[in-house]
Amino acid sequence: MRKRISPHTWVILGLGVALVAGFALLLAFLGREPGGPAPMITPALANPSPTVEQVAERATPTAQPPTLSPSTSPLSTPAAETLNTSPIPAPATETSSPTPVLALPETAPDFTLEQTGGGAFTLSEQLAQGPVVLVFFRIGG
Amino acid sequence: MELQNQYETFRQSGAEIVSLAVASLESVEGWCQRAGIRYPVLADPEHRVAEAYGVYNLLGDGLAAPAVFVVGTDGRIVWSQVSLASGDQPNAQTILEHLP
Repeated sequence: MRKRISPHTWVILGLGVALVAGFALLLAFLGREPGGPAPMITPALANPSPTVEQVAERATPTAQPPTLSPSTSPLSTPAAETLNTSPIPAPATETSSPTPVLALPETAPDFTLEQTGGGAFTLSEQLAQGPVVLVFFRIGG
Repeated sequence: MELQNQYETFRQSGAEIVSLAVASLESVEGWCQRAGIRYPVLADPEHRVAEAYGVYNLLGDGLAAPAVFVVGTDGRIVWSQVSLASGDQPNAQTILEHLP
């Protein structure tokens, strides 16, 4: 005579199966994480300069308003936004001034200028020590 | 000036802030003293550098437009921002995010 399997055994078996399935799912998920995004990341990592170029290109003529708008003061944002997105309409109000056309370099032109506190500053010499943030500002502006 | 407040953060990131103004060295020095600027500030009285970077006279007033260029150690400009509003000031956090 075959012994009838008690409900307790079924419960334990069920729990065991569920546990194993859960582990399998977890392992599959964990296993995918390092492997999964890699194909997406690798091209970007293997080719950092094109993405950097894109950042530079996007940031210069067209994407400036988005970078400006959340960060700068609300007063100056609208003006910057409209002028940056469409630099050409600007002279419509002041016809005498030249058309502001953004022609920004991709490579930083080297230069030497006098600096406060004495001495000269040469960009290439500073770049040998690390990245440089050049900030053009306006005295009294 | 916000960049002045964040200067140490920039230095810790290995970057140097260099400000330039189309003005005489005397004007720039006076401005730095008033503003308490600690990082190097350069005078570009003949606006050669502002022209080379394409920001000279964009506002039609004989000065450079407010602009920021983040330059990598290889000399490439990795990020830039030019404003055509004279009162615009660069946002330090935005620049920090774009440091190479």
